[in-house]
Amino acid sequence: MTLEADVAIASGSELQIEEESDSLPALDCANISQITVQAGGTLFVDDLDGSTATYDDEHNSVFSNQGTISIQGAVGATTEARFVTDLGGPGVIDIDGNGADPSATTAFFNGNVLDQAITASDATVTVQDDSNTIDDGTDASFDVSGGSFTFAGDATLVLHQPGLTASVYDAKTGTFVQRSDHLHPFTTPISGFAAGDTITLEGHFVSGDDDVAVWRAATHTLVVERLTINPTHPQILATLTLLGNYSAGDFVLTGNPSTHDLTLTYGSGKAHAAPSGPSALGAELARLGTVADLLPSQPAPSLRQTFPERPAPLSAFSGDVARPFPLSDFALHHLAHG
Amino acid sequence: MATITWVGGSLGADIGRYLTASDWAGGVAPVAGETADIVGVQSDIEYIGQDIAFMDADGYTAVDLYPQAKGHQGTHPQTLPETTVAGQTMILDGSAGPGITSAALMVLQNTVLADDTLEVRGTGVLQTHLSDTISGAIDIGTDGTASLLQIASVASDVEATRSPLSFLS
Repeated sequence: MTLEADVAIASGSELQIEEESDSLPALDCANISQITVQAGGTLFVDDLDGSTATYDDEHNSVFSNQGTISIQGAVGATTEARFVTDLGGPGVIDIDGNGADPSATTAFFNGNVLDQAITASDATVTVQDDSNTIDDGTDASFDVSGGSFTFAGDATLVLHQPGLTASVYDAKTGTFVQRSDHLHPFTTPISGFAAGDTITLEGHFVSGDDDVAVWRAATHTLVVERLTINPTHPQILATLTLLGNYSAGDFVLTGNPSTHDLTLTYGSGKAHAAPSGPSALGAELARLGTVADLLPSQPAPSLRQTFPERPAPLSAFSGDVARPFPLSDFALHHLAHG
Repeated sequence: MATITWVGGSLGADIGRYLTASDWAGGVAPVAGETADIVGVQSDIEYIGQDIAFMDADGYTAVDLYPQAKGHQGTHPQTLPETTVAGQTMILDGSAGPGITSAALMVLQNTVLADDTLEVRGTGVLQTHLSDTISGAIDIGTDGTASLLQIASVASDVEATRSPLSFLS
């Protein structure tokens, strides 16, 4: 089925696109026009009967978005798009809360997400990888690649992977072995990540573990590692590609003991946009004030550290206390933008 | 007051049973196979088709008109023909009918809604086949009602299997 029609979903209303029956062969649908989810509306694309909202690995169909899907939230409205199917492209998905709390305007993906240019503003985008919970005899993850993901202001990207086991116990050797096939499959390049934005690794935090965020400038990758078992060969929880001018110390990794989420934010309220001209630099220096202002605030007990190219040995740190960022890192960062 | 033209088919006589004579142009209800105009029913379109049940939002519904079609299997009378009158607004209205479900069903075949707008009120099911192309425009709940449109794809060799009735206006 090809959807050429421009579709408008008004407040309180919903569009469901789904297969008629799980017993039929997988059917593919395509959108080549524009679907607009107005504030308060809902779009639900499902590969099964609408009563089931879980990914079906045996009967998955592809919803090919080659057009535009626009999710337009508003203050006081709950606006949602859910894709429980494989999503192909190339297409555009724009999620804009228009000033609403980011949790009120959401897009949820459970399945492959290919070649989608996704932009999020005042919104939350959740990418769930159910592949570890699907009893299909394989460990293959979903494929979330191609296209782009752009933070356009005060947005949250949630990477959720139920049943994540970054390492498994090898009875033969008596050691834990890293399972790279169980990393979250999100490889779509990310741009625009700045103050006010959040990347959440949902359910990944374990109290007592030492997790770090390592910025690798040469490859523009941010790697979240767990040092607990083997600091020399840390477990990799996530590898994200971030396009932009970042430096070590720009990222703050926080663990929440209650929600077990690991959260990445852009550090210490620094503005990501490069100031222009000497006056901007002067204003920035004036705003920074004293040297003490350059140091990070007292971290919460769960606060983890952000490392340069490689994390230092675990013994170099004192429990959960974050290492103060070198002054040179901050100065160079701001001067570089001056 | 627009006029709806009904090209009879097998439904004509049945519709005649549920409309008074004054609802028809000339004061005479058509019989099967006859063409007649419906008056007294508000509608913005003139629609010519076959085996199509028409209704609009003034109290008449397909269920009212054709109760024996409840649970009907197949494309009759829910199938929209391949050719529609361009530039019209059709209403898939599941909000008013007292049918066995609250949903209205429209079955599409091939390219439809070319320049038309499908307005959805209440709960509607748009059943499509794999080869279908839906063009035009679809407005869901834009009249202010909380509405649900389910676009359900079925294999090409599978006929409509749902019981709710369609009605277009």
